[in-house]
Amino acid sequence: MEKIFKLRPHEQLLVQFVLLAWALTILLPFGIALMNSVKPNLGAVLREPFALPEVWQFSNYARAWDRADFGEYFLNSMIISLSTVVISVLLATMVSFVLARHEFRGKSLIFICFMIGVIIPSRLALPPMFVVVKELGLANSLVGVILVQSAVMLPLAVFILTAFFKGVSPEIEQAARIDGGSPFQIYWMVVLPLVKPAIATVALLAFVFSWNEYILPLLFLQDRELYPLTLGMQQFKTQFAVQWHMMFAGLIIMMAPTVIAFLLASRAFIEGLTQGGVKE
Amino acid sequence: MARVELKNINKKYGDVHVLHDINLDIKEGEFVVFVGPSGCGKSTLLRTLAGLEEPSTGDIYLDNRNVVKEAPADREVAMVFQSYALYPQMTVRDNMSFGLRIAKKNKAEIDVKVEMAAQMLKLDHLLDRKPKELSGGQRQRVAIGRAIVRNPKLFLFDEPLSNLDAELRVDMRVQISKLHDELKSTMVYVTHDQVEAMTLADKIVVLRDGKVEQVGAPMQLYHHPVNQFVAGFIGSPKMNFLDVRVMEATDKSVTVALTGGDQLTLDREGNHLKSGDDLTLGIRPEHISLDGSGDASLSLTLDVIENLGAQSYVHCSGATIEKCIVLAAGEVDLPANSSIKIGLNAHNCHLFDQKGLAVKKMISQASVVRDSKVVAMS
Amino acid sequence: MITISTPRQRLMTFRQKEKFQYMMLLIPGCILYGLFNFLPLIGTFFMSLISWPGIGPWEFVGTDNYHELLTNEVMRERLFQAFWQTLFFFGLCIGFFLMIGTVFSLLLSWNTAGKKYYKMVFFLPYPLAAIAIAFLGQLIVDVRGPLNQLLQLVGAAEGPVLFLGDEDTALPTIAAFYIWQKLGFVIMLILSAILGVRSDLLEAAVLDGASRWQCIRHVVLPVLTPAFILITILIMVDVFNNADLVLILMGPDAGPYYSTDVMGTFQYRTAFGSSGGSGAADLGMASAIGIVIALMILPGSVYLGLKNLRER
Repeated sequence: MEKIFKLRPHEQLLVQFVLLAWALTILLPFGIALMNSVKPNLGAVLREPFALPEVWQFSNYARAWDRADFGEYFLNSMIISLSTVVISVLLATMVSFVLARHEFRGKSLIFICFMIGVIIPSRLALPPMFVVVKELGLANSLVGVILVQSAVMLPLAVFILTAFFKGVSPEIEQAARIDGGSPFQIYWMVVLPLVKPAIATVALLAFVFSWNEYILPLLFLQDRELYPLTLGMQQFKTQFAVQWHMMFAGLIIMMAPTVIAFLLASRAFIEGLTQGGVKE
Repeated sequence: MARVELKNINKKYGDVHVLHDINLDIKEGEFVVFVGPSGCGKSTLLRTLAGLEEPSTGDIYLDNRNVVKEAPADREVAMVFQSYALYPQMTVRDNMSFGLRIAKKNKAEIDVKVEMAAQMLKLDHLLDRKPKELSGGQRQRVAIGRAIVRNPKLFLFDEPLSNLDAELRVDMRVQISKLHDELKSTMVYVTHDQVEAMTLADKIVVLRDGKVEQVGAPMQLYHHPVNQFVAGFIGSPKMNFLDVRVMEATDKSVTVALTGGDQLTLDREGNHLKSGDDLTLGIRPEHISLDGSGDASLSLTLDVIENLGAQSYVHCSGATIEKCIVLAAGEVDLPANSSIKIGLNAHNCHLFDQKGLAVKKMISQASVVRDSKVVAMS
Repeated sequence: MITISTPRQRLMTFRQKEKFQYMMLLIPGCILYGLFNFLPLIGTFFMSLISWPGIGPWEFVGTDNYHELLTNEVMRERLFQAFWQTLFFFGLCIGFFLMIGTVFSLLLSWNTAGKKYYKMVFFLPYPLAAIAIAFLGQLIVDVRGPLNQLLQLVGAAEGPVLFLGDEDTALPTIAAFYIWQKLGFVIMLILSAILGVRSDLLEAAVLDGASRWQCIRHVVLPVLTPAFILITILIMVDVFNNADLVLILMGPDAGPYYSTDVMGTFQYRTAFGSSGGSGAADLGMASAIGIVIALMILPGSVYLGLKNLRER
């Protein structure tokens, strides 16, 4: 066992060289973005993109936040993402709890409908989705975007959560019924706390997905005041394409929540997102 | 305390008939054990009683009140599960008080009840722990505590000791027995372990394939099983079954021949039997002598001896007898493959016909079974 | 038998109450999903049978959309160009993923120093938005950007390389961005498959005197096939329906000269018009394209669905 996994020193050196090369390929763009985001002007970016800034102008961030409206975009992104997380987690746990435990006619049909949502990417259904949102008068509103993003998130969430709910001992639920718990109480007080790890995974997936989503807001939002960061970035680019240092600052602002969360809980991120990616 | 009556309970899942027309009467304060092999419907019956499942047809009366449509909580029953089914995220205290909190009882009252139950079960020092910090035995005590706190009319136990190791199981068995003495509540207990059934029960209900095979006190089942299934199920090691042939049958006695040639006359109503009929003779391991003494004897080959110190299991076999176990007191020291002669007494023997039903004893002997309600099922 | 009714007569029996509560738990999610996701999925099929620019009257045209898609010269050319370019993009990515991904996974499966940090770094771009990937990449490969400056510095290129501006290099450049983002995910999948090789198998191989390379070839690689299949299908499904990178970088017109046009941009452009707003929007035709894409990826995604179901 040991023998296969153990590297001799010169092998270790070679392996390190290869891995380090890719690690640098990953990290350099981030580094360049960070470095150039604090350079005072475009000239400094263009002249020496690899050099450390002579002046560290952190006010770029304040300007991006303030004058380039990134603050507003950030707020919209937060509203959309957090609402999507809450709605999709709440509704998905409710649906999964019933699907996993309660026997009733039509249960398989409902489950199959959700499975179809897992199998066929919702991207392909953009035209009808657009019509539904417009007909309901939800076009150009955050509510519309939130509802669509939550709905898009639901099948995967239901899929992950039903498996988890099925893993909860049915006797615990029966004990709660004997204790007088109604389905609402059993769901909220007994079973929900037991699937916390799955909820964390689903919440993470929902957040990352809705924070990063570009097409759905693009389709449904027209007013610039409603734009999330993803649209705001694009907007900024079309308007001030040459303001590279500001672009970099905006990019860093957009990536910050995900990257910080990733650094804090990289294990949960890697496991959760890999799992989510495989299920999708 | 409650009197429980089950009337014509049937349960079907689609085409599968799980419970067949169950009728039972459980007296106040009685300790009743449902016993049977896995899949016999004993757990389903208990769950039906608890209200976790609804019978397809039939009624359940608790103190003369038909509760068949009522919620589990309204039936005032409490249940202890095999897996303990404690709420993992709650402390012991919260686990025990959950039902009362759901019922919106006032805080002081809840505290008093929890403290009392905790003291009774010696859980007071564990109240603020989470279930995962407890041992198996402690967890099961919490589960029992959770039941006691609700002061139920009826306690239900679903194989509560199966997850415990052997030593703890004996311990908990005694505790449950004590608990029954203290609370004097009606208790219904499901197990597949006939030892638990024998030691705990006032009354045992033997189930097979969703049907009641026999109801009675432990010793009654031991001495007077109504059929071969009950005879084999109650008692450990299992009763031995030997093929015998009827030599002579009258309305007062039946004489049968063992394969070895020896004949045995039993006081049974044999008027429906005739000479040449094949029957099965049942004899418990503890009723066989190793020295051949008794009303009849049989020559067998000794296979294995399991010495347990206080007693020994002697495994034998013969030409037409696949297996026969003898329970002997103390140690037995005989060489393997030696031939031995075992002896049986007629009054310890049971006789079963080809359907497995016990051949009835003489009416005059009925005094022995006077308080029994032998229910023989077809 | 005296039957005393329960103290409180309720409006509903407890079973009805339970049933009602279960339904209340189930229904909100079903409505949300049904309205905004399931209905559009099913609706795509029906919409593919009409002709409709999104506003005004619509017209039922039956299979005309499909017919036009396959026979109209312009549409057909666009469809096939998009298809071949998607396939090319997919081929580039999957080849890189399976080869380089496996090598990196193997390297990370040994007692490599700092492998925990490598895993973190490799995975880092995966949770980022497509727009972040696109912009980071774009800024790096810009004509005056760091990469071009580097190339000039070392003298690898005479003039600045256009990357995204050139018909020949645009799509491969976007593929490079895609690979840059997703390689970490692929490595995680292969790595977990490698670590899943039963250690007793490996031990047996070592006891039989197998060298490390033999162990890899005869014990490890064979069991990676399921992971390879999984990755291939996942990436295929993603590449065929998700065109975010191209849309963000190149707009719906997928320039230059449609050289980066993939199935996703083709559908988007047909549905919502080109960036200039000149192209006529046709939701019916776009739905038909959606159905065509769905049919292409259906075997793969159904396989995934069934596999997931079986693993539950």
